[in-house]
Amino acid sequence: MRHNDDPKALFQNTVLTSGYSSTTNCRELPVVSFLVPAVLDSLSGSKYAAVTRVVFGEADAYCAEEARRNGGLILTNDSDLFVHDLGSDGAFAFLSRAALSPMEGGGVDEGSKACSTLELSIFRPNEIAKRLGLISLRRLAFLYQESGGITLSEAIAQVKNLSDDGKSPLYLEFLEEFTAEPCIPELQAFQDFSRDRLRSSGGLVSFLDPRISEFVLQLVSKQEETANISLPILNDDTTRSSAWLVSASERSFAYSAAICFYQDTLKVPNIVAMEYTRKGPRIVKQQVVFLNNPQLLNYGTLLLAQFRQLTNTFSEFPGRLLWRIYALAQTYRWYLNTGKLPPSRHAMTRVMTAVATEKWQWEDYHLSAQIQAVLYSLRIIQQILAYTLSNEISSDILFRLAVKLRDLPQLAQLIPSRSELAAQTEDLDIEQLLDLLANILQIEATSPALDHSLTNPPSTETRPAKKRKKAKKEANLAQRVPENM
Amino acid sequence: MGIKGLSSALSPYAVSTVVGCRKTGCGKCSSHDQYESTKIIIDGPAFAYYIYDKLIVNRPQPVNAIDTLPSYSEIGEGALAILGELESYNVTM
Repeated sequence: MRHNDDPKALFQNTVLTSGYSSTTNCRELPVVSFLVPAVLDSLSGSKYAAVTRVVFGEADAYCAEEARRNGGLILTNDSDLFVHDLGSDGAFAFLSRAALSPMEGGGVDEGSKACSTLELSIFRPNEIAKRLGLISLRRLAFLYQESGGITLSEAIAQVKNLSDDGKSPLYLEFLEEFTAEPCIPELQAFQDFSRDRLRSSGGLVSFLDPRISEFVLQLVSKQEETANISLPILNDDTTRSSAWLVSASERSFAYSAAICFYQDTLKVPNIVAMEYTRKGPRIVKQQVVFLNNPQLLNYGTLLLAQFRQLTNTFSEFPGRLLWRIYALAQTYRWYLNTGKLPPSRHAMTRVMTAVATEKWQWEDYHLSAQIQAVLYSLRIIQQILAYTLSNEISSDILFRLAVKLRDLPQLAQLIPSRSELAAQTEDLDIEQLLDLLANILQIEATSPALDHSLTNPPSTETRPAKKRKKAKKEANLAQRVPENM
Repeated sequence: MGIKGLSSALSPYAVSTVVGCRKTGCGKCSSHDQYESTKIIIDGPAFAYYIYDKLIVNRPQPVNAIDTLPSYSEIGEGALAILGELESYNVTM
């Protein structure tokens, strides 16, 4: 994850860059939204947890430092490794050319005298430089960066003929990316601290997802006034509002909890946070609404109450469905609160069971993306609370919420594929489930007291008027709730 | 991230090297004088991409590609399977 202020750069490490057609809502290439977090989930529960580190900035810089200090062969896909200092014997190989298979790899034939070996094409930058008659490959790399289409012999000739002493501003700027010390002591301390905290939280969380980690780090160490968060791309309908919008309040809560935790140590007390997300070919930014401490506790109380209500109402259904039901309820509420037509009963059935007699339309993928947005936002809350709360917790509400969220499963269970979801819900009475949900939502829609939306933080003068207007709107919409559901 | 054209230009200078062997303590295949196993450092994001690539390569042609994306369960299992296979060559992670 690159840590800088350019919003476009925040997407450079996006797992897959989707091609967008400006005339349709169809992506040419769908993305796996939470690829790295899913890999971290599986590592954290495995024997490799002890050798896994979530780092700040580019992973390649840390790999280079590890190689420099302790030796080792780096497996990567990043040609930046030609430029990093890997130490005198440093070496790397490209993963993409390694013949490793996620399938059964073919067992060792114990009786065979032949060796079954792993052979890789290894680059040793220092040796290569010597062979080319250069001191290092850095100048060469710089030339390739600056002039696309240069041939190797041209580049080598240019490097050998260079008369400057390596102090040209462009070259120095190029080098800065590779020579910055990746492991500043305070960052190292932060990383160890976060790992210990997470382990002691008693839950499943061993690592902060990189984007979450980067946000927390910005609170601690950044001197600037804005913390940036880039949200992963979801497979939503790009002609509609971003699916991430439905869970803006969950994320506000999560970020605010982190601010609350760090408020005595924030370098910039009035820090502002901006979320960046992709909408079609554009990058959209949205300022985060922070909650003050009383609002934070109110929201926490509300969340706990909602979880309790759902647990009680849906006691006959598997507990793991609680989160998906919450996500669907929140999404439905968002449609009501924003005055949009909420999803139909059929659409909600499809998104709860993944079963469809007809082909899924974009409406279904968009609803599914919105559900994922809520679920991942719950994960953000889970991780930030696990990270920021210790056992001697001052807020009982936040502590109870952290405990409740220990039950939030890892991504493999939290966000199943369509076929996995279909299998999970096969024998369940989804009609009854949706009837129960309809009851809850209908009661809410006719009650003027509840305000689920945090898009308008309360102010003493305007709140009564807003409440009356909102109650009227919800009373009108209540006519639609029973029809839709 | 990455410098365009550099990898392909320098490809001829990579050396094909045996880094591990499934037979434990194999003297023939060790690239060191001592029988120390190669230590492997893995670039995480590159590893994540690699798992994804391996999982989709054998997928049937999708009706709609979103539905045939690997699940998070498959990705997690794929990660452990690839690391397991790497380790089977007696390298150190």
